[in-house]
Amino acid sequence: MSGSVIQVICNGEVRELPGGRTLAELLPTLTNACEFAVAVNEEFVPKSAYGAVRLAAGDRIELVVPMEGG
Amino acid sequence: MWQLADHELDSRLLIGSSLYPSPRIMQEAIRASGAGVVTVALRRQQRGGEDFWAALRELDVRLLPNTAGCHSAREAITTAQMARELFGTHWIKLEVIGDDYNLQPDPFGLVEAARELIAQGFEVFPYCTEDLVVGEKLVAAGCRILMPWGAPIGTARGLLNPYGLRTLRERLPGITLIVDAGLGVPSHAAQALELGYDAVLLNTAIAQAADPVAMAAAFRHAVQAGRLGFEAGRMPERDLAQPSTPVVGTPFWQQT
Repeated sequence: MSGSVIQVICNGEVRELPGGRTLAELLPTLTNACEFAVAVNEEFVPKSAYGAVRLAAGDRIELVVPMEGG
Repeated sequence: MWQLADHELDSRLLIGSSLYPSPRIMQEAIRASGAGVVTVALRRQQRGGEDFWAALRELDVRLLPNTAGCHSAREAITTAQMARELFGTHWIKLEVIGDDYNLQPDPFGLVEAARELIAQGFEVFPYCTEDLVVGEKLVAAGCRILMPWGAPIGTARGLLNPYGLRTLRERLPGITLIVDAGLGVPSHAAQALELGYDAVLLNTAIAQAADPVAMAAAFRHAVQAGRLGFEAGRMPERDLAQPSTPVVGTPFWQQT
C-alpha cells in the first residue's frame, strides 16, 4: 500500500492522503485543532484507538470541536 | 441547593451558550444568570470557535453537551460518544429531531437512543415533548431527567400546553423535570417553576434580548420567584369573587 494515494471524505470535503496509514499518523494533516473528537464512517473512534485505525479509500471522517450550543 | 443527577446546584436555571452578540457578552450573561450548567455542542471546525471556547472555559460551570442537529438514534449515539470524550462528561442533552419545520423531537428515535446511551453509562437529558406516554417510555428506558419543551426552540411563546406539563409533573413525581426551549420572557420561567418543574433551560430569550446581561439577571430572579411560589403553595382558583376586606362592620350597612 505504501506510496499509494487514497481519497477520503473529511468533514464533507474530499481529501487525498497517503494510503496504509493510521489515523494517528494522518490527523496532523487533517486538523490543527488541539481539542477534537473523531468518527469514521459514523462510528466513534476513541483517542486510544487512533494508532490502530487505518484509513481506507472512501472512508468518511468527521472531526469535531467544541462549539456554542443551546 | 437542589440535586441534578449526582450534582448539587444553587440555581434552577440552565443556560445555552449560543447566539450571543460576542463571546464576552456570553460570558457576562452566563455569570449574571447564576446558572451552574451551560449547554454546548460539537461542530466541524470553523473560524472564531476558539474565542467562544476560551471564554467558556474561564467560567466555573458544568457543561451539558447536546446532540443538536441529529435526525437518527445512530447519529445521536455517535455524537454523544464524541461529546463524552471531548468535554469529559457523561451528561448528554439528547436531541433527535423528527421534524425540521418546528424542530419537534422524534419520540421513537429518542427512546431508542436513550436506552442505548444509558446502557453505555451516560446520564441522558432527553429533549422531548410534553406527551405523558413518551415521558413514561423514556423513564422506562432509564431516564431520571426529562426536558419537555415549553414551545418549539427559539419561538419565545412560553408554555403552550400548561395542562400537559402539569400532568407530566403530577404523574412523574420522582423524575427531575426541566422545561427546555420556547421561553421568551422571565414570567414564562416563573410559570414553569410555579408548576413544580425543577428547573428551566433556555438560550435564545437571553442571548437575543436587547441587553442579554440584564435579561440573564431577570431570568435568575424569575426562577427564584417561581420556585418560592411553588414551595409556598398557591391558593385555589375560584369562579366567583370573595371580598378580602372584612364584611362585618361595613358602614352604612342596613339589614333589609
